[in-house]
Amino acid sequence: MTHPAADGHNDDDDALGRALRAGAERQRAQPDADLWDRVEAGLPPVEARVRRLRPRAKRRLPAIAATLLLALAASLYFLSEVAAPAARVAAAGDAAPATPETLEVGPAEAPIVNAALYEGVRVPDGRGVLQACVRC
Amino acid sequence: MATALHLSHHAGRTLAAAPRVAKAVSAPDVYAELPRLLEACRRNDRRAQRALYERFTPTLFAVALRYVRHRETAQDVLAEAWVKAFGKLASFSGSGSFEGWLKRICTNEALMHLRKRRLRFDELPEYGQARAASTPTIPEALESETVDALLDALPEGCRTVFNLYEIEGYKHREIAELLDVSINTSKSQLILAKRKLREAYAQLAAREGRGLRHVPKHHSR
Repeated sequence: MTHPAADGHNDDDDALGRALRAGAERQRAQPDADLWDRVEAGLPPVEARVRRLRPRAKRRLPAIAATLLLALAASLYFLSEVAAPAARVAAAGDAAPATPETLEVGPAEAPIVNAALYEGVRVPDGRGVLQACVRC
Repeated sequence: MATALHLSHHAGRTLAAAPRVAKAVSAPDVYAELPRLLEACRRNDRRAQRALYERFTPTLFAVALRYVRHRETAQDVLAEAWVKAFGKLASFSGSGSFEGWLKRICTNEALMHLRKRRLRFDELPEYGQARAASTPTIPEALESETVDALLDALPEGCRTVFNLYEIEGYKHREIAELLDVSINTSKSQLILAKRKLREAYAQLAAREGRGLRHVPKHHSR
């Protein structure tokens, strides 16, 4: 006949096993604080968050664009119609007197030159055209 | 005597700097419900993953330490177990206990580590050589320090089998597959573990000169 303990069945063993199991189930242990860093290093990286417009802002987008365009057009109109002529007037005040648009040019007297010096030289004829110098 | 020497040797080497701390860890309110927390973890939400880690790590580290009695190595095992758990989170169906699922991953990781080191199984001595004196009164639940001291008294092989069979609830057939040994080896290692535990417990009780402190039992398997 074998002793109960020889085949692993013993009341004390069972009681000790149960007590150990009950004690083990309550066990808690705290690892080092930096263990999470090691765990995190093994996890897939977190994707960078892309900032997205919320639906409400998306709906307002056309209105915002239209307002901006309108403001831009208004600014351009103001510059072209109001600001630019005023600037031109101001600039004109500072400039030299304007030249008459039509200038009447009458026949000029024949140039008086010393024939001895200028024979053969083309000279203006008083109308803006060069003529061969003739003997005076 | 040999057991006592073994016991003190292990206690000094492994757990002297490893206080068991039952520390309450608070998680953000938004993650109070486990299903929401798991869903956020599956989306790779770091805060949720951290909260899950904080919630279950004390339990898992205790599991790892029961197999791997060296604190630093147990931390390696635990870190690897967490990385695997987060990687496999999508495969957790949610039908069973999540804590049980995590414990299995941690246990497998510890066993993988032990297998790499060529787990050694002592032979079962003839009956009579290892017969212990009468066992002192056994409380319903042992204190954590006593559990540690008793587990330290076991050689690695039979401690692993004892942990798997008696504490985790595996069958001998499953243990044989996990450790790549025969079913008879698993059975004999369990017998050896029980003998050694009885001896170690008697010595502990005698050393303290009184019965080991009783811890009220809340539940048992």
